[in-house]
Amino acid sequence: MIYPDEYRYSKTHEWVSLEANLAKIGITDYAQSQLGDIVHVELPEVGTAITQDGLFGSVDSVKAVSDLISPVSGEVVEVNEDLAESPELINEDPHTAGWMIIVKIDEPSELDELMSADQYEEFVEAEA
Amino acid sequence: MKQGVLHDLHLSLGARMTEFAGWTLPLSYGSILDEVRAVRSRAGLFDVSHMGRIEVGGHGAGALLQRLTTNDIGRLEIGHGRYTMMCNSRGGIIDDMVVFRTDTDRYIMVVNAANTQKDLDRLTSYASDDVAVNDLTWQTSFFALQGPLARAVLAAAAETVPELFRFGSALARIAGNCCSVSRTGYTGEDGYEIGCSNSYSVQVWETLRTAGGPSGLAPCGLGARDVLRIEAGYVLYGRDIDEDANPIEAGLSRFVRMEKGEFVGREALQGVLEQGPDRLLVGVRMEDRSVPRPGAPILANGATIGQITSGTFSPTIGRGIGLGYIAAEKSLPGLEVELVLREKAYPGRVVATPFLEF
Repeated sequence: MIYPDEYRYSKTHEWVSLEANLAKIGITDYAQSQLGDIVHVELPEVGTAITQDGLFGSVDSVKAVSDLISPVSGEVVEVNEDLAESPELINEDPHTAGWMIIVKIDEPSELDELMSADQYEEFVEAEA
Repeated sequence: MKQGVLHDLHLSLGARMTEFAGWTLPLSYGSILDEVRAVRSRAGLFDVSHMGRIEVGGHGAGALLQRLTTNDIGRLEIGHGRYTMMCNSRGGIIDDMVVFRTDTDRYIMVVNAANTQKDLDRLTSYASDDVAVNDLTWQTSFFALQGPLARAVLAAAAETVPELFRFGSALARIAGNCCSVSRTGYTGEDGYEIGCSNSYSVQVWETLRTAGGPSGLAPCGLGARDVLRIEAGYVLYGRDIDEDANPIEAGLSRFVRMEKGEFVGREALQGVLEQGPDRLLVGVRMEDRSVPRPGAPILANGATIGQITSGTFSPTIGRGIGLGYIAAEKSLPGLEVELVLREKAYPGRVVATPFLEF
């Protein structure tokens, strides 16, 4: 299984890993493979309020720029600073070292709308 | 959608395909950036069979090309090639191309895929009875072997390797088959472009790939080709130049030979030279990894002075780079600019192209 069981997944290919009320967010292995080499990431500053289904940043691959859509609402409390000079971490290790932001969430119930690893895998197969 | 003869072979090599100028072509076989690095440090092999190849033959062939293009084709020797452009009467660029003279009265033009039919129509409409214009694109394949080790790869693949200067062209034998070989390319590196009949193009490709194994040759797609040409400061038709752009503002004046005599567009270009162009194509190097995208406004001191036409991330220098037009009076190397990308301003600098030293 490529997709960790304990994560939740959005239809726009972000993943969430929840610990207490802190949601770590990144993009999925499928997303990075579709984008190809990621060369630049634009992320919000710590303290920014973001909302579920709202924009929280963008990723540039060689060919195109893509939106990052937040799977949850809350306040950004940490940003992965390593991505500024090493965005290739997202290609190499999308589910762990390539994490993007940590959000202190307002509504844990928002995660109920997201997919499980099994559901996401089916979703990706249907899309491919 | 048109497919090349090697379509299935590319798929078997793991290519991700993309659409370009009505063709389905390899975008990359893995990582675009790895393919760029392979060409800069070793060698890469591209299938560029979508490029239009037009044969212009007959007693009036040279005169036709002299009349329809901007460079001096009259002085082109057999076995040599030259970069040139076809312009309209307003001086706008109809297409840019390399013309090779392969015999006294025979020339091969290598043109942009999207413009092949337009070029054929124009050549045919201007051709006198003693000129024959033929489209060779469909019968032949065309490969680019590029990189510092390209010469070693060709030497390993070919039974006879012609000694060629830059833009020289000759015939060579690869896997027993007759191929045209020219020392040209679109990457800034040393390298060759190789043409051959479709009936043995798979064999030629595979022979080159096998011969390149010890050199670390990588098959490369359009994605890497675009990064490489931007790093080298080469314009792409449809992005950086089109019928509304003239060679002077596109920085291609040295390929316009006013002294050769009459040619289509000469009068308009003479006017541009006398008055000076309104805008100039320049290189922009970002201060960070942000990627210039076509259409992004270029600002200086808060005022818009131009627009990006091509951009990418350069793995070689680790920064975003782009080409774009700015107001001619602002065009000074070192000028600090800002690019607006997704409503945010990113700092960059106007620089001379190519972005790399070759």
